[in-house]
Amino acid sequence: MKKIIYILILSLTFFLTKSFSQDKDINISLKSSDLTFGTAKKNIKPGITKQEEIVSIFGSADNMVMRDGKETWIYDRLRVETSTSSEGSFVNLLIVGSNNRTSNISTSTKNLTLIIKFDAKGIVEDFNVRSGGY
Amino acid sequence: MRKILLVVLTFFVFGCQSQIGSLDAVWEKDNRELFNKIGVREYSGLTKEQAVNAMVIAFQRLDIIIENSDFKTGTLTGSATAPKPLTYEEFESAKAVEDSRARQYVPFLIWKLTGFDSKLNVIFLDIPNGVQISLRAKLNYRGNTTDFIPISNFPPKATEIAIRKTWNEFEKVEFVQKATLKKK
Repeated sequence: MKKIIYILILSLTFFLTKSFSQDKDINISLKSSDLTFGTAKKNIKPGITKQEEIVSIFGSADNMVMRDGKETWIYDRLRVETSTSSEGSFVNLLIVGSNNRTSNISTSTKNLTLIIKFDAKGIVEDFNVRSGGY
Repeated sequence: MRKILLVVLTFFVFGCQSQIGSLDAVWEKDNRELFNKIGVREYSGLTKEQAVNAMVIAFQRLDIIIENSDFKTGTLTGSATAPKPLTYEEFESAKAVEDSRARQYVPFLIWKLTGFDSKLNVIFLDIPNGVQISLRAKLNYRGNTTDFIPISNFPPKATEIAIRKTWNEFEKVEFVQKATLKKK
């Protein structure tokens, strides 16, 4: 009899207690990205910086255009940020349970495009940076 | 007994159809607002031809197949297997946002993308010193509609992501073209 009362009280407690929980995870995945607006501005000096230095800082270019013996290098880097948050309630009556949980996933993508123009000797002539996202 | 079952089934099918119709109408209204608000942009220093060319490349990069393009009239249409131009991950995030509201209209809603195509069209208009570009998108069901009631509008959150993603790709292409293409 005591056991039955104990189970009943426990179930009643669960039934009356509506528990809400909130989790938030922010997961940032970087895809080949040491390239930022700041590092580009800091490291690229027109008339001074050479191709080898650019490669050692940012790696190989994603695209290259050659015109009149001059090279233009294009870097296109992507950064995906995923954040998830969830909110839920749990109601339990004896052995009948119901779990109502809603979760939100949001992703944001940021990209940086860097275009570096070199002179015929392979020294930076000019560069342009564009940062975008959605 | 059979008659009762038939009546119940008829009510259920027609009920579902009207529920999906209501949801589609709500999404259509929201999408129209989104397209008017963030689906139109003006670019200065850009000709209609340059803008069409850049958008064609942006479409290709987003895996959208070009169906028709005319820089003289300023039109571009393309299609892709849904959820493109969104990735599955992006569609999942849109679904998570829209699911609870969608279920208020269709409690037994099934999020099914199989058989759907995304149809996109872009209009380019000449404006003084530049071009105005407007985007539109719809869903098209390829399969048999007698055994399935399809929806014709993207969930608004998916529309929002698709619009922003398309602009981002277009602007990136335009930026690269400006820096690399030989000036005439």
